[in-house]
Amino acid sequence: MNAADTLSMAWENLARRKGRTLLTSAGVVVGVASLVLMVSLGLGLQRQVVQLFETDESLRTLTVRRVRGDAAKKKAAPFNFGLDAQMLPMTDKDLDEIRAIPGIASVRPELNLFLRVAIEGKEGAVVYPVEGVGADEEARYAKHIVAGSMWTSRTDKVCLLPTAFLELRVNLKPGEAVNRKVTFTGFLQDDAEAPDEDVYTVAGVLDTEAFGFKGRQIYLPLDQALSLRERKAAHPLLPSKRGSYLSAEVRLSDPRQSEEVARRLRNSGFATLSAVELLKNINLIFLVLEGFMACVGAIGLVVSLFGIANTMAMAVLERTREIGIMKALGARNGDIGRLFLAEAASIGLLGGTVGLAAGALIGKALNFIAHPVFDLPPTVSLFHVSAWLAAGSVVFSVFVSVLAGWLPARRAARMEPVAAVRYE
Amino acid sequence: MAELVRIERLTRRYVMGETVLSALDGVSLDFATGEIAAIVGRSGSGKSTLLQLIGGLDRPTSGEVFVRGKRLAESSEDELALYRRQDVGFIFQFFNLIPTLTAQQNVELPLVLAGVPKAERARRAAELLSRTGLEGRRAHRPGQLSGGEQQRVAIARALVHDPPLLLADEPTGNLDSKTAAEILELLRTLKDKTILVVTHDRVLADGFARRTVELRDGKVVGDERR
Repeated sequence: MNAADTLSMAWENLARRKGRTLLTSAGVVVGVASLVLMVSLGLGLQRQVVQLFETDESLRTLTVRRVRGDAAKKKAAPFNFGLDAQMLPMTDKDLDEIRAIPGIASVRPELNLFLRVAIEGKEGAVVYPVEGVGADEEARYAKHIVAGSMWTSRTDKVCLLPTAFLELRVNLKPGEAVNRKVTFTGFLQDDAEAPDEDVYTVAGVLDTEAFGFKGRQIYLPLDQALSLRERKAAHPLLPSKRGSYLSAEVRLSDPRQSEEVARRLRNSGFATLSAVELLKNINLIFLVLEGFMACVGAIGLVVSLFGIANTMAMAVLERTREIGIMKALGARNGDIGRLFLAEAASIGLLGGTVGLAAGALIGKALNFIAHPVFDLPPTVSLFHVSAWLAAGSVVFSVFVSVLAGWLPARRAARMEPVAAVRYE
Repeated sequence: MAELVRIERLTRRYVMGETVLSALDGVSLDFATGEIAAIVGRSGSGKSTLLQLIGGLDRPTSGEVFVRGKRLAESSEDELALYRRQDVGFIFQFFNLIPTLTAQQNVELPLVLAGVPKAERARRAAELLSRTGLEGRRAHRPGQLSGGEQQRVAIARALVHDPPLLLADEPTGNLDSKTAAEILELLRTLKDKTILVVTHDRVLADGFARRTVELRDGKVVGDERR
């Protein structure tokens, strides 16, 4: 019997026992839907996090710290970033040393400066990181401006705001923000004290998406940012004087050289943190998380396995006579076995496909409900059904169903034709 | 005429708990190509067992069945299936049609199992159904057919793959006498087939076949040719 005939016979057999087929498939639907829902949540969250790091700007960027001795050369534990070694403040000399390393396009000191930010026309202030852009990097930032323009004079009191700040913190459109006044206040100052205010003008708005996780900072001309830090030292333990920095942002000429350049930096005594390293670790963590969620989700599918096995065992008993007739007419054991396996697989395919659709739809519904509850931006999707998840869940469900149908099918295949025909 | 089936010292015992039941006990027979024979005997005489062993539905405890010189005992399960598919057509007392399939689909089934293309098997099944007088009944399911019609479908199914050997186990046992006569008449019109009919009805056997083999307690007690 050829495959097409086996399948069409299997489907006819299932179709004539509609109620039972649907009930058995319903078990698979629940199993696959829960599997898809769980894993798609993991994938959705992973995608949200990974998107932050997977922009060209992020992949071109390394964060560098100076550590004591040769601590940097040791292989660091994930996310450790030299914190177990004693960190040293960085100097302008360190920055020059880094600039000399091949593969590095530019270096910018990181100020790690948090200030209270108030924007003209909006009530209250928001605590937000503020960083400086050196002359050598202005052109690069200018490319990602979505409203207004890059500053023309480094001595003017001007700044760039990221779109994330406008959308999530003050609810302004990029165009509306340009030319507004922005007031920076020291983070640790008491409100009662006379505020030491600095007023700047918004020159342009930066596209957060393009910068990834570095796109959630307000940028000033470097020199002005440095003097702002001196005057409003965010924390007494953090460096605030010019020429002393906690870390530096290194920009690569080629993002593919990330690991190579990181190795060179470590050999020179710097600890490095790159989007590439972060991604590796984040993806690993998510893989474990998704694996765990898949296991939890698969429990439902395993339960439905018993339902399929039961249905198939009943079908074999009921159709003893039919099996015998087919054998008398020349069906081989394999023909009979494959027919029952095809029926089990079809239940899996039906349940798997409907379960996939159900899981994806429930994810969409939960996403819809979650947006207003958690005040998520419209672009965020908590559940993501990837092509791999879609194909994998259906294939897995068919596989599990075939497994469940295995013993009943074998029993049908091995039935003695004469015993089957004698059955009255 | 050439010999089609040869049976040598065929024995089939069933073990039922502590007792051993000898359904067939050292039976030796041959049947020629094109021969029509009746196998008669009372219930429990072993006639159905003999038919099942010849048809490759069961395996003997000892002894041999040769069909066209090939030993069935040496055949694997798949070879036996192939033998049933190519060389044997079965007709049963209770018709053994598949109740969910139409007459046409039932007749096509042996061809489906043999992997015959769709158009070809539809054509052959339709042809056999018209030969058995069921043109108008092709789309009916067994439940919608009379006993005689169901047995005609079964005969069409037994012939659709053109086997040389036809094995009928009480083909008229479940039919009224008029219908039974029609069915036997239909079988008699078949040319070039070895037909073995098992029946407990001596009169029917004498009227139908030119050879009558009588079994009693698993042994051959009579073999008459007319």
